[in-house]
This record gives sequence, structure tokens and C-alpha cells, in this order.
Amino acid sequence: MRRIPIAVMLVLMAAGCAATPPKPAWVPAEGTFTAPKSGYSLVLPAGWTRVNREEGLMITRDGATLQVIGVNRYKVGTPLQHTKKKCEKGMLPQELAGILVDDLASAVNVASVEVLENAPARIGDVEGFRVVVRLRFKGGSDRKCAFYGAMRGDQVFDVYYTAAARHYFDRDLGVFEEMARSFRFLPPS
Amino acid sequence: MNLPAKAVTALALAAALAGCASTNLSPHTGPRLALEEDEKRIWLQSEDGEKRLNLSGLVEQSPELDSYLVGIVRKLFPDIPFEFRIRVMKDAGMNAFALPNGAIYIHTGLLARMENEAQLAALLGHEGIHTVNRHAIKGNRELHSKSAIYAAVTLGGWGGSLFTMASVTGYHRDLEREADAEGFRRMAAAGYDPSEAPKLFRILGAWIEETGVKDPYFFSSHPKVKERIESFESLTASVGGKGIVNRELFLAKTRNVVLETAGLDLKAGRYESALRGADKFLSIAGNDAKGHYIRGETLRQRNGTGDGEQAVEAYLRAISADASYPEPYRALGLIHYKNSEKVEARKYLEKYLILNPGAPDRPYVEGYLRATQ
Repeated sequence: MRRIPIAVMLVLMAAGCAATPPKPAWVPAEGTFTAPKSGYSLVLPAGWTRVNREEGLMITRDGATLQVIGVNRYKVGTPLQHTKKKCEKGMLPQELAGILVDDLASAVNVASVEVLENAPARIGDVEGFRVVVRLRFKGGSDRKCAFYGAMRGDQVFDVYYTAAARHYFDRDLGVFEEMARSFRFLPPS
Repeated sequence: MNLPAKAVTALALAAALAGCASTNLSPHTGPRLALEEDEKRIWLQSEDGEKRLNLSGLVEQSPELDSYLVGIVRKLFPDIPFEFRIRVMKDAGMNAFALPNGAIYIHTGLLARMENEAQLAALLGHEGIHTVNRHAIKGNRELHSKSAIYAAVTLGGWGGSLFTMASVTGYHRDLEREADAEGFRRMAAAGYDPSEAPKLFRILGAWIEETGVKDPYFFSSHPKVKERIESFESLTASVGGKGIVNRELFLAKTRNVVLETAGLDLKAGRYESALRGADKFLSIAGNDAKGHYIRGETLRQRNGTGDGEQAVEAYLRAISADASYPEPYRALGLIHYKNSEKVEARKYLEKYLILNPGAPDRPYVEGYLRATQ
């Protein structure tokens, strides 16, 4: 069998790359975003960009280091990322909020968490909570984070917004609130 | 904030060049502090890192505790031409580190698990020797193992780089051995019971086993724990005798740190550690409402067999210790609320709001009260 010269092989490889361009990492965020597997939908603000994936929403306007809005899901009975605590069936929204705050506080890069607001709230027509915290990181940066959360079935959802405490958080809080109001759980399939 | 890559490279290069200089440096003892040129830079950078660390919100604000710690280190190092600063960092982990300029940081987790002043003296002796024997500049000049890179990277920022690298990477193994041996001699010379030194490392070893930490900070480049315990036992045998332990004073000075660490362990869901901490605090402080409350919270959240009943008992003890402390009323109210025991729930929740009218969770509690009408 004849060996293919390296130069030819490189050209073929380059052509292959050209034929199937890589999927862009970020795409414009607008209209209704539906995550069928995760079981929710919400309306995205115009002028923002979102991470280009079907599930697991994350959007930003000026860059992920400045502000991010997204949705997290936690399985009931499974330890969270930073705390070993678990969300359990029958927990009150206040208890769920406490566990999510403890998870933030237990992150290795977080120096302190100050709860600024914590109150009952509805999300997707389910009784839940709304929390606002100030996060101080060990690296010195100061951020605020607002999140709505609720338990549905065997999952806890949180719609969160995190941004640099100075300037950015207040500027885009209204956008986040509007987005959170548009959050809907999809009917169970 | 981490150092930009260029600055790190420059520091590493400076460290490499400094490697040509002598490592035969006498300790910082005597009436006058004499720093070499490259060492002065390290001290300046350490001072900057120390300032930022102290403003980070991570450091305990307890002048009484700081002064107690400095008093011990002065007994250990009466012959040095600078002042040590000892600060406690709010972190449930078992760690401590010394900056080259005399700033020593101890995590609350380590302090909370110690049993007496002699064990603390063993730790401070070890950390103090790193500074007095100029281990940072020696490490730089030797470019030994990771020490030079450690110094170059750590001294630029206080955040991830400073204390992570200082504690994770540590000094070279030979310098750690020197700190163990000389720190031990200082501890014994100051009159402390030397047999407490190996016990400190046994406590650390037990914590490593319990938490399953794969790469325990304090030991990542240190001689292994077992080896250190054996080494301290042989050092103890060589000096013999008894000495100061100061258990009661130490526990009185550190009891708030014990409670705080129990709270941090509870947040992180380390229920066994939190329970031990709450029990230790109660054994020191006696009938204390906050201690009983943390104990109750830990049991309630752990939710094992019989924990619910024990939690209720702990909350009731908290109320009996201080009837004006609001938290246990809320906890009891919520337990009754979840059990649909409306009258009892109302009784405790109303009391909670009376005692704490500005409660941050008032909107929730008002909702529970409405639901029990």
C-alpha cells in the first residue's frame, strides 16, 4: 500500500476541518429557551449571549466574569458540590435555601457569604424562595448573587444571577427578575 | 488576586539567580535584624500579602486571642530582633503557615482540635523556626524542590497563591525536619511538656483519616505524619521530664474558636466533626445556649435514628440556659410546624419573632404563622 505523504495528509485534515466547522461556544440569546430533558423553559433577554448547549442554561451580556444568569438542578438525596448536605423530600423552602447558601459558604474559594435577603417566593408556579447574598472570594473579588429556587419532584431547581457587586449587579438585576418570572416547568413527560 | 504571569516569571528568575548566593545564613537572633538584599524583597512582598490577607475577611478579629498567641510565641523566641504576629483564619481545615516576615496564620480548625497550650507551643515553635531560620530565602537560593517557586509565586498575592501555596507546598522536607527539631527544642526550653508535641500530630493524623483528605495540606511535602510522630516521640524520650501544659487557660482562650469551627463544620455537612466541636465547647463553657443550639442543629440536620429527639432536648436546654436567645424557639417551632402540631408551632414561632423582631427570615415565619391559624 502506498503511504500518503504528510503534506497531503495535512491538506486533507485541513479540508476536513473546513467541511465541519466547530460549533460556536457562545450564540446570541433571545426568544424562549427550552430544556426538555431538564424540564423547564424561560424567556431570554435580547442582546445577551448564551453558552451553546441544549441543556444547562448560562447567559451573559458583558462576559462570564462580569455577570451570568443560569439555571442549576440538584438531585434530591445527593450531596451538593461543596457541602455534604443533601436536599431531601419534605424540606421547607427555607430549609432548601439554607442548604444552597451553605453550599456557597463551603466552596473552597469563598471567604464569606452574607445573606442580604431571604424570603418565600414562587418560581414556575411552585412555592420556593428568593435569596440575595454577597460573596467575598479569597482572591479578593466581591460579587452578589440572587437566586430563586424550588423543589419539583426529585429535583431542586435554582435560577441564579451572579455579578460583580459594584455596578454590574444592580444594573442587570431587573433583567434577571424578568427572566425568573418567565420560568416555567414543563409538564412531566 | 494572583500575580500576573510575567511577574511570577520574573520572581522565579530572581529566585533562580538568587540560587547562586549562599544558603549558609545564620538565624535571625540577637538584637538587630540583618536582611540580605534579596531577602528584603521577600519581606516587603510578605508584608504586602499580610496586609491583604488581614483585610480579606478571613482573619478572626479577636485582639484577646491574638495577644494570647503572641505571648506564647514570645516565650518560645525571646531572642529575636522582630515581632511575630499570630492571626487565626476562619477555616475548618487543619492548617497553619508562616510567612518569611514573622506573620503566622493558624486555621480555626487546627486550633479548635488542639487540647492544650503545650500542643499550640509545638506548632508555633515549628512555624516560628521557618521564619527565624530564614527558610524562605534559603529555599529560594537553593532552588530546592518547589521552595523557590513557592516563594516566588506565593509572595505576590494573598489569595489562592499566597496561602494555598504556602500551606500546600510548604518548605522543603529537610527544612521541615529542621523546624520540627528546633521548634521542639524551643518548646522544651520554654518549659512546655514535650510529650504533648507528638500528640498534636496524632490529632492531625486522626483528622486526615476521618476526612479522607487525599492530599492533606499540612503534610503534602512534609515528612509523613507517622514518621513525625515517631520522630517527636524519640525527641521526647531524649529530653524527658514534664512541663507546662496549661489546658484550662488554653481552652478558655480558644472556646469561641471551637464553637465557630463547629458552625463551619455544620455548614459543610461534616456532622460528626460539628457534634464533637459542640460537645467540646459545652464541656468548656458549661451550660451555654449557643453550644446547645449548634448541637441541636447538627443532630436535626444529620437526621439519624434518635437524632430528632436529641435535637429537641438540645433546643430545650438552650432555652433553659438563656431564655432570651431566639434561635432554638424557631428550631422548635419548625419541628412542630412540620409535624402539623399547630398550637406548639405557633407558641415557639411567635416567641421567636418577639425575641428577634428584625429576624432575617421573618417573611418565612409569618407565613408559617398564617398557615397555622
